[in-house]
Amino acid sequence: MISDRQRLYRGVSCAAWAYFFLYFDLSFNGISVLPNFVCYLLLWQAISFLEGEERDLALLRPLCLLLGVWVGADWLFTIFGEALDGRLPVVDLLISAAAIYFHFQLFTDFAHLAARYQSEGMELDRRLLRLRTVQTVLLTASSLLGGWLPSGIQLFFPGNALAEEAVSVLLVALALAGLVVSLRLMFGLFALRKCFLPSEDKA
Amino acid sequence: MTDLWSFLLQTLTAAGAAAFLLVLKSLFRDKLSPRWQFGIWGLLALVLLYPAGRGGRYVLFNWPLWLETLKTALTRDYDLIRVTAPIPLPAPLSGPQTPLDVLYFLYVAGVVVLLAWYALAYLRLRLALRRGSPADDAQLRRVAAQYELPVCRVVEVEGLPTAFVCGVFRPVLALPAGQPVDDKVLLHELLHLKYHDAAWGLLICLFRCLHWCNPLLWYCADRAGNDAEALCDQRVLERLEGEDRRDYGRILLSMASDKYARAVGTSSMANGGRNVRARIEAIARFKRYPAGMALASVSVALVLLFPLTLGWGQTLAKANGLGHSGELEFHTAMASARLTPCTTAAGAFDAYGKAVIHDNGIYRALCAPLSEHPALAAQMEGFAHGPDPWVHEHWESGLPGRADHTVGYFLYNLTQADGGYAAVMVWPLQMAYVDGPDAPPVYWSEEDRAYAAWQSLWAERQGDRWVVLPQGEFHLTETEGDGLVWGDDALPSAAIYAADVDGLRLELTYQTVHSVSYTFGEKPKVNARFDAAGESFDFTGSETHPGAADLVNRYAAAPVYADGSGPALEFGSGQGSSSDGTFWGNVRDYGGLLASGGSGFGDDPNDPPVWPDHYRMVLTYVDGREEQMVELRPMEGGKRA
Repeated sequence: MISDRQRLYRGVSCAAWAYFFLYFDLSFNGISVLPNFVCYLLLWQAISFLEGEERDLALLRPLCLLLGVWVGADWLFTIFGEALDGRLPVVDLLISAAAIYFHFQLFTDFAHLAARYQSEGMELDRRLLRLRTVQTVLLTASSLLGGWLPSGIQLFFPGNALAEEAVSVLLVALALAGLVVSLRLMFGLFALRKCFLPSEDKA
Repeated sequence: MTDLWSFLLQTLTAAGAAAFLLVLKSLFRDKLSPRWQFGIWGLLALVLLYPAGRGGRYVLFNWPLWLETLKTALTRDYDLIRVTAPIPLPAPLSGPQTPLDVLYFLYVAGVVVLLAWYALAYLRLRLALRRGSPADDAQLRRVAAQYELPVCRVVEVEGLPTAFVCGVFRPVLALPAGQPVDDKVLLHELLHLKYHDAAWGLLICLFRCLHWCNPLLWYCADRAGNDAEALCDQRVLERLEGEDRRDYGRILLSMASDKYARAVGTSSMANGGRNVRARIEAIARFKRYPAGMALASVSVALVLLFPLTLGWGQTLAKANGLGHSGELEFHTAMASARLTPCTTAAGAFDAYGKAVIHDNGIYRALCAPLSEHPALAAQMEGFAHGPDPWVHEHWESGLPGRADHTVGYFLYNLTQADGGYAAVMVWPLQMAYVDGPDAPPVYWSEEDRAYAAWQSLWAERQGDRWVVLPQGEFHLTETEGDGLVWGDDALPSAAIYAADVDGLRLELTYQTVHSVSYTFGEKPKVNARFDAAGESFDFTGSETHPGAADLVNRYAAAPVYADGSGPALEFGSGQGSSSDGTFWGNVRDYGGLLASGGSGFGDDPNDPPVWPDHYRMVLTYVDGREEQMVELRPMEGGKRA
């Protein structure tokens, strides 16, 4: 039997490592050795550990399954030299919407956990909520720009620069900002994990 | 909507969006609030209100392509399905001509009958309310004051099962006569009044009439109505506390076995047993919607906004290797060409250039006027089913040779006029049919020069597509230089500027060359922009009076534009030219009045091309005469070729 605190520690550990798999990619011959679907397996595990403490987490199971299956299928396609991305634009759209909600709600729940277990004056919950909000805005902007503007909408900016060039620059900027926010979120989860360490381990 | 095809396109587009929203809503059923659940139907309303298939765009599923293909396969009609308005417009006065016209007539009749039925039902309800007696509105005013809500006229009517608000512009709250009404029921109805839910109901009813034969949209209309009620419940619960919330749930529960007759222009707390049960489940989840979900709700809606309203642009379907008998593939390719408009003049030129290079009629259809599609399709079908069975996309442009696929094409002397563009398209040839297509082809001329073919073209906008109209036959020529990217004397000039001075004939041949980046085997780029543009000149001075050239020492020239602007004249060292179009020379040291040069054209290759109005030239002499300033003006007709 593991204690409640140990369960919370394990749950948050799973989530922190899950985001490591999501944000970092290492490929050999075009095949990812840190595949994204591992992220969703770990998040599924994290939800199992944490749903007793944070009831809303259970609502995320169907989305976790959907996102995990999708990125898993994409990984399998990559192994066979194909790409799933862009083949089924309707499913891509559904996945985009699901992913935005999923990560938003997940970090909201982690922030609630942080609010309950952080040391006094730590304000980890506020940091997580702030980063979650920025991440959601960045994800939304990326989906809007990356997915839909280049698909035929003609916008011309002063100087006749092609819209797609401007969009590409914006996407790179969003990706960079997203990377910074994602890393901070991941470190935030590792910081949250420390809140559940027994006091002698913390020392 | 003016025919059955346009109705099918509109209703199927909406059905695709509706199916997607139903899946999405089931995914977020217990995760996002009733506000989102109702609000997201707004996207479907936008799809229903926006004419489907504009510019070939499609919402989630490529209905325009599938319907265009089906229409052509069934009717051999190569015109585009156009939805001019999201409502049915009158059919031709001559009456139905075909079975499809009869079906459209039936559809329109259905809309009219259903609208009339709803209107009659509403009128009957209003008449019934007129017969009701004015009610004491003290309780209503108290509830409205407590929750700061607007009020309206109240009547009591015998036999009503429950209270409801009726009407959009002059709403009436109808109460069952002789029965006490709970404050919370009044609160529910006042909230309907405040948020104009009767108007939303009316809009939903209008969509029911317009798409009366689409069961999926009727199901969505039911769901939207129920979501409006669930949202109203949510608003009530946000205003109630503790025991009042439980009471409200009990009131709803008491309605769970009621039957409910939907009436247009009304909103009622009771909306049928099954729906009430769903609303009670939503109430049970009331506390579970996490705070601060507005951002996630808006983000999810925003991600869907563009794909569901503007849709996605078409990309050209398979246009190569259509085989000899693949009728469906051929119709699909032609439909795709109709639906994929060239959005720029450069895109239309690119499609034409590649159509000629690849003998591809589908590419030609991309940039041909729609009125020419039937003849084009007939020509391609003739080749496919003829004695020499060609692949289905085969088209013969009349090019007197075989284009060099690895080089592509060049666009000479592009100029803008009357809302269109004129240009000369040039194709370097691998081999030329010098003596006609039946004679053996020739690879190199006797002077070991390569051949090129050129044709005058005109590009103009027709509706939402740019089209290319050939302005004459192809011409075959031996090229002068190694490449055609910086102009070639053997090809038509944009203008020839000339002047006669002191026994000299001065002539400057001016050409521009525009190009879209070309990769072997690449499909036409319908949204192309010019990647590069250059200008070049060849200047010669010939003697009309013997010995006149020997008296010239140096010369310099500069272009002058119509507004008087232009670079300054300058004598550079020796002989040369500058990127601003100026050039200079030393006749005695460099063997005569000869100069040529080229440079990039304009700041942006996509700017409207502006050619020099004339050239200024200054000449100095060896015999002590004062320097002479002359203007080289465009020759009459402006073109040598």
